[in-house]
Amino acid sequence: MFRKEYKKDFNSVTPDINLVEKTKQRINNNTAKKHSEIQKRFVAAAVAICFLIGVGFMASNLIKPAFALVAFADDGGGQLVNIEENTQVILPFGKISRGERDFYPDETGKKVYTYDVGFDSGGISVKGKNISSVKYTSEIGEFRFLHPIPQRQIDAEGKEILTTYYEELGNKSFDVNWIPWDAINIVSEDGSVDFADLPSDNVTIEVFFKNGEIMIKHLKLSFNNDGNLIAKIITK
Amino acid sequence: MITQNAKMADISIESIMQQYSDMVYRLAYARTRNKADAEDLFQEVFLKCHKANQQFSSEEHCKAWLIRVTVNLSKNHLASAWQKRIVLKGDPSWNSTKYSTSPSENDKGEVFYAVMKLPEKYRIVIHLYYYEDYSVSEIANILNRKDSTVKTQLFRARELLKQNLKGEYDYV
Repeated sequence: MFRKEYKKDFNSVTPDINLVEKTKQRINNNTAKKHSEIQKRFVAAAVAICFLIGVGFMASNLIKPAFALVAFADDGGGQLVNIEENTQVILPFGKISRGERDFYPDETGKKVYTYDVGFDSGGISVKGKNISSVKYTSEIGEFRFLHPIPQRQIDAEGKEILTTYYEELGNKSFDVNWIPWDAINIVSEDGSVDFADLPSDNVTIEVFFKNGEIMIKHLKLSFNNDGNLIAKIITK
Repeated sequence: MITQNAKMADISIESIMQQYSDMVYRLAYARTRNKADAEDLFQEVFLKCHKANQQFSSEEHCKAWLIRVTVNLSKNHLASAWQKRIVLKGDPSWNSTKYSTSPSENDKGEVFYAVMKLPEKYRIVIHLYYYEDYSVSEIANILNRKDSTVKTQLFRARELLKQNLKGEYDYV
């Protein structure tokens, strides 16, 4: 049996203990460096905070709620791209690409030709203060939200997702993945394709603040000729 | 072992490494076919996991995230290998004596070498399907591919394996 043989062969492919220790060491060094930088910044930040608290306290009743839209790649969350008003931006995720043409036989034995499709996963999120929840609605795409509290519910996915703020997660509470299944299907189907002609998606982001206010932004997501995902905030 | 009852947000990188080191390394090796690259990739994945301070809702979420990151980061390795004129992707001339540097590979059977000769896009689905026991839909979900794409890749991979393997195998 292929599965049994493959597992038997691959069972002995294991990392050296030295590699594991070296990796742990690199992680520890990284943590120590991070802590050192944090300590240096702490003193400067403490001085600044004292000043800002005074100013902030006075201004808190005058500032209206606001939020920013950001996009992230799914390979570690390092690169965040701001999606500003009145600009068009290439996002750090969502690049779609076409690979080789291949086939598989359907139930009748007929060859079904498809193309490999590459899609760099990632998503969008919201940054801001005093946000209690965010609702994302997509016209043709799909959202995925990996629920941070396992005891409460399992991961959710669909055209409409409501994310709720969790203290321990901070801004990450509002991270959702976006997947354009229509575009992926079109690129995988046999025949020529122009990425710029792929269907664009209109996404609505409703932000609910703790004081009861609601703010809405509309986002248009489309692909350019190279398959990069482009975002633009649109005014309705 | 990370228990389901444990709050995943509190799970340390050490616990994640303890549980998934073998899985990440095997996947990295299946992708790169090269011990040195697999080791680099291994370190990158766990450093990324640490830096990202990723919160996981479940063991499956953690595992799927690590798989996705390993696959994504390995693209960089394959690209840099290409720049160094080491052709790996789909290279039919690949053979164990030329690229394998792991001493433990001497005891591998023909299945291992046949899979290692497959193009990289086939190796990953074969590994996830036959070693990690993921279903076609689960693989499609993890890799953001259509079910039909994964089915095609599994089918083509099996066809190539049948050509290259002397033994008769049941590919269930």
